[in-house]
Amino acid sequence: MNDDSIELHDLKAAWARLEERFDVNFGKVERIARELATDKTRTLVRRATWLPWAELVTNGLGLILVVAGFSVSGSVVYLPCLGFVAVVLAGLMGSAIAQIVMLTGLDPASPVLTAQRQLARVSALRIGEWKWVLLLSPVLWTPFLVAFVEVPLRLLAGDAMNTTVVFTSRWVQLSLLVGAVMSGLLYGLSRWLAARLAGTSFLRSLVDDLAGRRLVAAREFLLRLDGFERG
Amino acid sequence: MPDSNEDDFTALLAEHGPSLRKVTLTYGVSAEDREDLHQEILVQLWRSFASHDRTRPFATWMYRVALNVAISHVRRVVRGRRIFTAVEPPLDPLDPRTNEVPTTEGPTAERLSILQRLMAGLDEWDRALLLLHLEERSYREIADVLGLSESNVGTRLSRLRQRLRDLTDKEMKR
Repeated sequence: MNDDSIELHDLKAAWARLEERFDVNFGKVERIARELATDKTRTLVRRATWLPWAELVTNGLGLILVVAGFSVSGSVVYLPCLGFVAVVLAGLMGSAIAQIVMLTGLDPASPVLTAQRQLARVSALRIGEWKWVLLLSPVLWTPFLVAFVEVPLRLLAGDAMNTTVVFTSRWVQLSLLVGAVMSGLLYGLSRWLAARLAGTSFLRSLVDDLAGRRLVAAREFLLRLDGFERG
Repeated sequence: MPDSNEDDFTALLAEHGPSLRKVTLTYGVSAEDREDLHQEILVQLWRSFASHDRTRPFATWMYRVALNVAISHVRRVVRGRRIFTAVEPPLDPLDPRTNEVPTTEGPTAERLSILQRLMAGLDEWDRALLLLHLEERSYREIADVLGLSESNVGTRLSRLRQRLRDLTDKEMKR
């Protein structure tokens, strides 16, 4: 590196001086390394990789239940609800599978830009998934309630349990309509609150998810990464 | 994992430990955060050590793992601040208040201070690039660690030199 400027060269010398202190502190590094070898901190490495697996299993079980519900459902109006729930669960399973594939293929020793891009993609996928689940929750809860109350009751008690008395056709339609309006309001409110809210970090995180700010940040990271790679 | 692996790992850490400390110093946002990051890097290095190809340089492999962990870590920590607060406090990789940084005086302290300000204004990847350059890694090795072309490494380092000149010019005008 013959073209090194004097300034960077000077910084290198100052940077090298830092090692004097680190050499003295090496005993600590060695102790941690020993602890690692004795498995004391192995539990720390359990990362969020279990989450997509948990989602895959629970959504898979839900899908089996919903599919079984098609043959036992007591009302025609429930069938679109079951179909809707099945599509949502299948979509969530697809997202979980995609995340598992991406995370499984991730090698922490691969070049930094490659690994960071892969991690950012998983992150963007998860954030996008949760944004839509949260935003559509006012619409989703009605078909989910119908599916996961009616189907188990039908499977267990057969015709003896008539849920159509509670979840009437009119109630389902009205609930879906109110849910759709609520979803729209929730989105508008989250965008308005995102820049103004001061409160618990959980609440702010929730609002940022709903308003899509976290998704925008994740996508910006990917764009910056591409820009860096292009030079 | 057999004991020989454990011995090899410890021996390599003994050789490269100070370099790891510099990674945590570059990316950690506080003394406590640096300790967490250091531990996180060591855990990941140990986990991945079995898959390390011994015919390839340990340092390249180590920097890849350490920088991947560090950048992911800093994204988690800083992302929250960037989104949740209006004003993000600048990163302070060489905070003199921490007991990790050697007490220095004179030109060295001044240069470390300049370095601190330079790093605070860089993104995660330029910081990695500068770190590797300061660690006397070749263009080829830097390119290998980051996944860039050698010419790109050269271009980006030239820009960093220019940023440094701008920074020092600004200091002198004060």
